[in-house]
Amino acid sequence: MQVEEMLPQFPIKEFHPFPRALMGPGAHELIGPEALKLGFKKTLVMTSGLRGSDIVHKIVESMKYHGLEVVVYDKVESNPKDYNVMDAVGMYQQNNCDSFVSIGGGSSHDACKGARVSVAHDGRNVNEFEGFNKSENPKNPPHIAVSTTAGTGSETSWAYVITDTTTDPKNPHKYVAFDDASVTTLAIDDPVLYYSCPVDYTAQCGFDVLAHASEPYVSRINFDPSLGNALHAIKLTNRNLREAVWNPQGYEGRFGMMNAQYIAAQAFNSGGLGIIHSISHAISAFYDTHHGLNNAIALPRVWAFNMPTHYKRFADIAEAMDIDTHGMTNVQAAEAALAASIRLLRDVGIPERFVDVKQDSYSKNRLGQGPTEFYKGEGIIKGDAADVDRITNHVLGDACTPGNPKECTFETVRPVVDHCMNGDLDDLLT
Amino acid sequence: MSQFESGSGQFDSVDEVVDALGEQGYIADARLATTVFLVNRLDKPLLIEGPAGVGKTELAKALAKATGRRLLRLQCYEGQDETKALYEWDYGKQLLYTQILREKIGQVVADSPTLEDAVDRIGAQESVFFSERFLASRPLLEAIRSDEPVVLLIDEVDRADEALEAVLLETLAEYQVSVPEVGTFTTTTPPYVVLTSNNTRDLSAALKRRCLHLFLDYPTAERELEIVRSKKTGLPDALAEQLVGVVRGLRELELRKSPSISETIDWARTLAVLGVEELNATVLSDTVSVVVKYDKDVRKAIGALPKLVDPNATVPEKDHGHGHGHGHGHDEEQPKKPARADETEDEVDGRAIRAAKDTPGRFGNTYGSNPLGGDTGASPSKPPKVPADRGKSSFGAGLGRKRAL
Repeated sequence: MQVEEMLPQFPIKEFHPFPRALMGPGAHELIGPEALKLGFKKTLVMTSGLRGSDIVHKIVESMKYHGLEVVVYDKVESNPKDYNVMDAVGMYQQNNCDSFVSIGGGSSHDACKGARVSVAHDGRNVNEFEGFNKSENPKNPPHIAVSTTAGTGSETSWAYVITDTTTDPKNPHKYVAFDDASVTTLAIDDPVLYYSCPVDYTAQCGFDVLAHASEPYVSRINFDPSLGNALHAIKLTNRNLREAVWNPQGYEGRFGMMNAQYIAAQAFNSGGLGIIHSISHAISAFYDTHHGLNNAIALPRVWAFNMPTHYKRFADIAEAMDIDTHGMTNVQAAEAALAASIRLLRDVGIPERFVDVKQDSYSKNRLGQGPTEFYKGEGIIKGDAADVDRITNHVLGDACTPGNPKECTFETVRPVVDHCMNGDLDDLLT
Repeated sequence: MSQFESGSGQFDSVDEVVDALGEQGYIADARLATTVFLVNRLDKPLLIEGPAGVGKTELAKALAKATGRRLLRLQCYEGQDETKALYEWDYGKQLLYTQILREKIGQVVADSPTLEDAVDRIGAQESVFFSERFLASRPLLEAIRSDEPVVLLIDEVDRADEALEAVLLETLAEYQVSVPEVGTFTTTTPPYVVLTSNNTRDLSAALKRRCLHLFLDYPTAERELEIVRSKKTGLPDALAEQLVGVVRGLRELELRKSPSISETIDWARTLAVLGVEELNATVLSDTVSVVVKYDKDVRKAIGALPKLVDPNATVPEKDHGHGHGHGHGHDEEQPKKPARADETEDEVDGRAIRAAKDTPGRFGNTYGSNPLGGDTGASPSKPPKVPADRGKSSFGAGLGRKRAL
C-alpha cells in the first residue's frame, strides 16, 4: 500500500457547464430568430428523418422563412454509426455550411456533435475522439439541438456516443466521447414536439432518464453539485413516466418528462455514469437495439449489483420514488427502491430480459435488418456464453465503467450481463 | 552614409530613406519610407502591425544598419515582468562584494557599543551597494543609458501583459527611467524605438496614441518580386515572377496561415536548390509545404495550384484513399468522405485496434478532467483479482436469497 493509493480516487471533480436552453411549449418556433442571432447563414440540419411526423418539415420551413439556407441530412440511424457522421461532415464541407441544427433524439444530437468535432479538425475521422476531451480545437461550428424525445439529454450534455463499424467491421464498438467542445450552443426542449413520440419509445426513453439520474447519484465521481439534480429527476420520472406513456396526449406527463430528462442529463454531466450505460452500449454495439430499452433491462440488475456499496444512497432513491420509508432500515428502503423500479418497468410494458426482445417488440427494431453486414441475419439476441463473454469484455473497456461504485472485473460483471440476457427479474425481489 | 557614422544624423528626404534602406537589402515603398523619415525627424516611437513574416523586425534591423546605430532588442512574451525589461539589482554581485569586504565591514562596526549603533553605521553605507555598479541594465534602461545612439526594437509587444505595456508607456513618454536608489536616468540622444505587433490582442489606446502607426501588409507584386531579387535566391527572374504570382494566388485562398514574404523567399531558394527550370503544378505541389504549414491548407493549396500555374489547366481527378467501404451499398453515389490520409484498408490493423478497446481500466483514474486533451494522465488502476466463485456471489447478494435486514 503506497501513500498515493490512500488518496481519494477522484480527488478533483469537474463541473461541466451547460448550454443555454429554451424550454416550454412553443420554444421550437424560436429557432429561426435564435439561429440568426447566433449568426447562422447556411445550416446543415441533421436528423433521423422522424418520418411520419411533420416536425422536420415544419422546422426547416420556419428556418427558411427567416432567411436561412438549409441543407438536410436525414439519414442518421438509431445508434448513430461513424459513417453517418462522416457522410454528414462531407455534406457540410461540400455545401460550405457554417452551422448545425439537430432535430430528434439522442441519435441525431450525438451524430451532430461528432460531426461538429470532426469538422473542427478538418474532417478527421470521428472515431479518433473517443475518450475524454480528445479534441484539440475548442472552436467548432455553432449547434442548436431540438429534442423530440424525452430521454437523451444529449442536447445539454458533454457526451456523445457513436458506433464504430469501420475499424473492425466484424466486431463493432460503441464508444462514448466526453468532450467539452461538443456541448451544443443552444438546447431547445419543447413538449409540443414530444406528442408524436411512439408509446414504446416514450417508455424506453423514460428509463434512459432513470438511468441518467440514478447512476450519478451513486457513482464514484458524484459530488454534491449533481446530487440534487439526480434525485429530482428520479422523482419527476417516477411521477410522470406512466402518464406520458399511457396518456401520450396529456400535457402533464409530457412536460414532466421533458424536465426530468433535462435535469437528469445535468446530473450525469458532472456526476458520471456507471455500468448500466456500459452494458447498454455493448448490447447496442452488437445488436443495434434502442439505448433506452437496454438501459431499462440493465437497470434493475445493476442496481442490485451496486446496492451493497451504497444502501443509504439507494434509500434516498426510494424516497425520491415516493416510497414511505418510515421505520425502514436503509437496506429495506433500498430493496423497496429496486422493487419500485421493476414495477415501473412492468407498468410501462418493457421486455424484462434481452432474449425476450423480438423484432416486433418495438417500432423500429433493427434486429436482423441492420445497416451493415454485421447486423444482417442476426434476428434474435443469442444470449449464449460466448455472447455474454464478448459483451462483458466490451463493458470492461467502456468509458462509463470507471465511474461505477462497485469494482468491475470480468468475474464480477459477467453474472450481471448473463442475468440481463437470461435471468428473471423476480430473482431480484425478496 | 558618412553623416550617420555617429548615428545621430538626419535623413534629408524620403528618397534618401529608400536608398539607405535599399543598401541594407530592405526594399521600402513610399508609405513605409515616409513613416521612417518621420520617425527620424520627430523622435516618436514607431508601432508596426501586420501579419507574420512581412518584414516588421527586418525593418528595425535595416534601420539600425542604415543609421549606424546599435540595435537593442527586447523580445516580449507572456508573463514578462518589468525586471526583465527595465533593470535588476545584480544580487549575486552584491553578495560577492559583501563576502570579499567582510573584514572591512567588520572594521566599520568594530567599535560600535550597541547593536543599534552598528546597524546605523551600516545603514549609512548602504548606498554603496545600490549604485550603478550593481545595476544590471535590461534593454529599456540600456537604451536610455547608452552613450551611443541606439535603435530599440520591442518585438511582438502584443504578447506582453498590460502591466509591461504601462512600463513601456512611461519610458517612451519621457525617455527616462527612475531607479529609486540611484536617481533618474535621462537619455542624451533619444533612441529610435520600433514596436512590432502581430495583433494577437488589441494594444491600449494610450500606447497607440504615443506612436507613429504603420500597418505593414503583404507587398505589391512588383515590390515582392524586387525583394525576392534582392535576396539573391538564385532563381531565374522569369520563374521568380511566376512564383510571386502563385504565392499571391495562395494568399487569396483564405488559408489558416497565409504565406508571407519570408516564405516566398524560402520557396524561391528551395526551387533554386532543386534546379527547377520551369514551374509546373507537380514541382510546386512537391515543395508546397515550404510555404503552407497546416494539413488542411496544404490540401487546399494542392487543389488550387494547377489553376494558379496555368489558368487553362484541367485538373486530373486524384483518387486519394478514403475510409472503409461500409458494405451498405451507397458508396457509388456518395461523395468521397473526408478521412485521414493515413487511413488504410488494413483489416488486421483494425482488428488489433478494436481488440485493444476491450481492455479494462484503459481510461485510467482520471475520469474526465484532462485539460490538455492528451492521454488520460494517470496510469490505469489495477482492478483487484476476483475468483470466479466470488464473482458469482457479488451480484445482488446472491440473487434473491432471503437476507436478514
